[in-house]
Amino acid sequence: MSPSLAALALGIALSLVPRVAGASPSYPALMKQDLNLNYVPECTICHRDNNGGIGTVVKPFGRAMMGLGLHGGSDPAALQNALNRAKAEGLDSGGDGVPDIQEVVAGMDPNAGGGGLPQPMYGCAVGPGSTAGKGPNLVAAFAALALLARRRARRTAGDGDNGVS
Amino acid sequence: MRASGAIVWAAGLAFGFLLSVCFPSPAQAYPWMIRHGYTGCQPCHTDPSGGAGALTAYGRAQSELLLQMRYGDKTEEASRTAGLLWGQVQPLPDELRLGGDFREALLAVQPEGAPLTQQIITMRADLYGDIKSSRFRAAGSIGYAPTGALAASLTDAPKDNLISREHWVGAELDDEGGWLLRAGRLTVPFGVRMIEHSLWARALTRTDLNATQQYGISLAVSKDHFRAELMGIAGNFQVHPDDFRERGYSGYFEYAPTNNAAVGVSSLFTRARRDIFYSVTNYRQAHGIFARYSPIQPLVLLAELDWIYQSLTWHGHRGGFAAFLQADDEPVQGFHLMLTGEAMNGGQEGEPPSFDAWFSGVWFFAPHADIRVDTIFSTLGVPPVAGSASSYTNASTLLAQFHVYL
Repeated sequence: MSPSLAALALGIALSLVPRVAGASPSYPALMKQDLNLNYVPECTICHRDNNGGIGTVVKPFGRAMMGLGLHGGSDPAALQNALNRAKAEGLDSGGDGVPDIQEVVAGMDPNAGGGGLPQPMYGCAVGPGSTAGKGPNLVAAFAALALLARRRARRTAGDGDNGVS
Repeated sequence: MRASGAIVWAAGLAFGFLLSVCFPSPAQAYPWMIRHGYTGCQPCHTDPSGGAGALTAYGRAQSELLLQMRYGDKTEEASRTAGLLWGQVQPLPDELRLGGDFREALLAVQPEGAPLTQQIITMRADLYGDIKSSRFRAAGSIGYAPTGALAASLTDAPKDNLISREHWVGAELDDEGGWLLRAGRLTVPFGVRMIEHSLWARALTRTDLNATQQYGISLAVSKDHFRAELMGIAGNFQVHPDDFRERGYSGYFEYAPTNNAAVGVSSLFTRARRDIFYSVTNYRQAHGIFARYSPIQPLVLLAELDWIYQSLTWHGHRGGFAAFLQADDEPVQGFHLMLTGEAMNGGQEGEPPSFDAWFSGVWFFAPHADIRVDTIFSTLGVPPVAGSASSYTNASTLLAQFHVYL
């Protein structure tokens, strides 16, 4: 097998490997449980984006929680301890006079001083339920495009065979 | 187009979109090509500052001749496999440059005193195109992101989004194409554009190849001994409402006195009514220096030091820094060993500096494909909070990547 085909085959094989989730419960789900929330906080309550990851804790609330002993990975005991301390000490990383835990329980962003401030929305087609879950349809759409290209290629080859340019 | 070539092309498209995608990850940005005398990026990349977008035909050829392991092959002409889809399609006109970029990774993180977490992440799956007509240019990318890259999303779901990191129109202002004026969504010009997007110098300045692109107008110049780009930033129009869009400028100037050394300066200033991370008004600036040097061909040294300053409503003023030094050794063509040291301070009151070290290996083992392994040891400084003293938290990370481009 040529190196080119080997590379392509390896890429296809890796793309089919199922993702392995972390072995431990995630912090957002644990926060929901510990604080008896009616929603699951986004990772962006602490991290730069929803991918999380070491070194990406940029939000004031996340940095404050690290100061209360919370670290990366998945350590339920450390999270619970940090949340308890934040509540007991009235942690206010947003600087708006409203304690962080109170804001989280109320569904507000503890990082946004003043509570209730708008949050960014992403995408060019902003609207409720506009595009959620359309991943498989995108695959079908592009597969259709590829088939169309193939039909055109066959038609062009046929024209060429008849001397039409 | 031959029918067999179209079948391969369709299979490549289907392959690309069966991949779930994109943890923020740059395409291909290899500033260590200075070891071969390439002080500029333009010969190989359609983006004048490199990294983003499709490769030129010359860039594809150099990828085979200089980048990948050749296993004793001494030919001096690139083969057909250097072309799009490994040469399985008819060569495209020189004015049309197409490409695609796909990356998978295994990420394992071991924080001190915490359980190990590991996951397989499908990183980038993007397609690019660049077309030229006379002096006019147009380029764009489209990809699929199952998670992340929200700032580059075209759709508005929390995940499984169609994304476009770059799309622009432009004009070459001279016959050689050394001056390029562009307007659209562009990678922000600042510092060393490189593939390690999570380096603090890229993350803290928000100038990586992931999803920090901005809309604006830029003028780039690339000549024998210097290159530069200056961009007026109009904001990211894929984020709403307008309060969250930054306005300002970013740019760099790099001078290469010889073909194995280059030094540069960067500057950035933006203002957002609501910062996308902090949701309050932020006047953000970063200014720095960077350098690339290859004392002997197998070895390249890259370095960058940036001063970062933010004025945040309710959070005060924060002056910090981010820096790295990387040594890239290529003992055999196509196989790299890299050692990178980083330091940063985010500027919060009482925040101690953070440090980490990367030990990396990259093997360009086949046409259009490479594998990479990074082990990263981090010591992260945590500012004091709620009466607690400042502290440190440690973590070890293993990142193994497989990358293929079309």
